Amino acid sequence: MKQVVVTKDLVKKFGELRAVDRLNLQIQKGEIYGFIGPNGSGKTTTIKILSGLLRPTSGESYVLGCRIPDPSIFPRIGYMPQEVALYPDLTVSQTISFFGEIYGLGKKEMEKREEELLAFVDMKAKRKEMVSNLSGGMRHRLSLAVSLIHKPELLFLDEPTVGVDPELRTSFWEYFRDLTEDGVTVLLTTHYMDEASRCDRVGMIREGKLVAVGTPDQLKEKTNTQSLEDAFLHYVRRIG
Amino acid sequence: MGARAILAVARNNFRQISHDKRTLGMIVMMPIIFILLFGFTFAGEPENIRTILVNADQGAEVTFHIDGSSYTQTVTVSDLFIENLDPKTFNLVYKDDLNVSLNEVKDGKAWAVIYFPPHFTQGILNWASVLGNVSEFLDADVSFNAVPVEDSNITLYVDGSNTQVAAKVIAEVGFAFTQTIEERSPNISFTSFITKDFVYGENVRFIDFFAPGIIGLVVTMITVILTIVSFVRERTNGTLDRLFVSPIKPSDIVLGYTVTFSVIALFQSVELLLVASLLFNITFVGSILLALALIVLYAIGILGLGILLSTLAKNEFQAIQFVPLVIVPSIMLAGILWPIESMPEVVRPISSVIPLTYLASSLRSVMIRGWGLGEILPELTILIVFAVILLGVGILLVYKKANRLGLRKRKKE
Ligand SMILES: Nc1ncnc2c1ncn2[C@@H]1O[C@H](COP(=O)(O)OP(=O)(O)OP(=O)(O)O)[C@@H](O)[C@H]1O
Ligand SMILES: [Mg+2]
Repeated sequence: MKQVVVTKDLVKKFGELRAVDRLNLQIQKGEIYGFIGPNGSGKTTTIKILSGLLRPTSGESYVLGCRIPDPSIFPRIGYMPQEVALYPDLTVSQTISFFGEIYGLGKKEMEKREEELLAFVDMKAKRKEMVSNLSGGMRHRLSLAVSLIHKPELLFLDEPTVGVDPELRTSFWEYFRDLTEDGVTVLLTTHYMDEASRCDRVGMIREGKLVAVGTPDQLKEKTNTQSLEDAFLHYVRRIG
Repeated sequence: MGARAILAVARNNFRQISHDKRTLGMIVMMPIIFILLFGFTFAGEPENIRTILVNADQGAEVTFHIDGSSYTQTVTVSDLFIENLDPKTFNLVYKDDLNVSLNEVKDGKAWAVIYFPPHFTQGILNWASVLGNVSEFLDADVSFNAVPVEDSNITLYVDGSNTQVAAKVIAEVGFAFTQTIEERSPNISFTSFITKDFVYGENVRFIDFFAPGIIGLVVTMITVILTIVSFVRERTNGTLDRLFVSPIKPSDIVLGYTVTFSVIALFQSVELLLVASLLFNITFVGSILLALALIVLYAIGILGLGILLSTLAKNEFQAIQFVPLVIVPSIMLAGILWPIESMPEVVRPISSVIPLTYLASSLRSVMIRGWGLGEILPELTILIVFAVILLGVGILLVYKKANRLGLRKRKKE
């Protein structure tokens, strides 16, 4: 199986704090990899290193076969930041077309893509709405749509479903599943255990260290627990 | 990507501004407010200056010869001088007592006292007789006995606390004096000693002098404020991160902003020139294209400076505090309102590193002197150097923020 993301002893220090501590990740093509861990455990930091926004203190990482940092991966990855990174003074439609242009989409292609994405996040009616007037969940949906605009083959999604209502959350997951069937790889972070259990594999991170990796079932088995939540608590507590 | 990405960034900026009514308002209104403010405050010279006139002139005895007969009469010439005092400049009040009048100046009720002493006429006619033409001076056939007198000078008591008012009073009294002498004795001409010939700017007023500086100031303000705020906002919003992981090059982001702010600077300059021409009829004899080119070049440099400052700030609140740091030295030291020549030696080196110094002086040369490319080449070169360095630093900093500095080097290893 082809590995899309590989890290070797990745370390990121902020002063004395080791936000990421000798992290070794292997993520396979076409899987949904769930990154779970308590607040401040280093999930966002890892994603930022992998997408090239942060330089690691030491260690290596390879994304899509390229040694990171390497700008040539940018057209192939999609990044959804944890905070809603949008321009408040644009309309929904202008937001999508701006990022479309940045990714070099042609006019026709862009119009088509806008329709698809707005349908997917169920925001067709909000097309002319200003981003600053959108509700929090709506902004989150748009933020996800923006990171999908160029049909990336690898997605880094930092808490993509925060504030999104349950109905749409379900359709997001169906969409992620559809994407993986086309060979897209998804690395996402989440604090929801029901979401974690829908991942192909889950990586549990605590204080910057990867403490367990496996399918949700494997993790439950290893810890001898009934739910992923219990497994999570097991790992988080045992190490502490 | 290149041009397309640059234009996308610029278009994005314009779309945002068009939705942000307050920023739009600031861009449109600031030039108008500035030119009105500076125009009306500085356009005129001091006028209607309350001045007390104490005329103690007792006159002098002069013998007139008309048709063979002669008679003696007392003449006073002080009135001739008083008539020549510019009525627009002076709001004249006549008083008899010098001390009372001086007290009014001391109390701030008047700016100056013009005092004609008792022997004023005698003194003037003595002088005229030395030159041998008292008759000419009085425009009649007369004989006059020159008797030496003391203290025949006009005395001007001036409140010097307002230098502009004081300078104007002194200049106008002197002007009235020489004018009267010249009128009365065509053979004597003070001005004939000095020939005034304006090389440039025959009718240039103060507003013509500072209008180029005001254009520069407005462009500085808007460009610095908008660059700093937009970059800090892009960073804190996270949109900059989004751009950093997209195929767009950091230099294209900066160049996109450059396009935006060049267009805004152009718009504001044209607006300012139009308003200034309509309201104050400012002098503009040179090439407008050259003037606009200078402004754009300057705006590009200031954009780089703005990016540099934005990287020093954590948030918009901190960022906005840099604005006075750029603006105040520009107002004070760039020779907008006061010539650099009037500044103390110690601050002149600072003037020479403020880009606005070179914009104001070259723009002034183009507008008032009508200079072309060849003549402003030194300043133009400096502006180009400023633009290249500051924009270069700006681009470099954005590459650094994107973690893309030294990337190519490492790859070669
Ligand atoms: N720029 C920074 N400077 C200093 N410390 C930082 C910086 N960014 C993150 N940290 C620290 O690094 C640690 C890991 O942060 P990170 O954002 O990666 O956690 P996370 O797992 O994403 O948490 P959450 O679930 O709350 O999003 C935290 O202790 C955080 O305070
Ligand atoms: Mg996080």
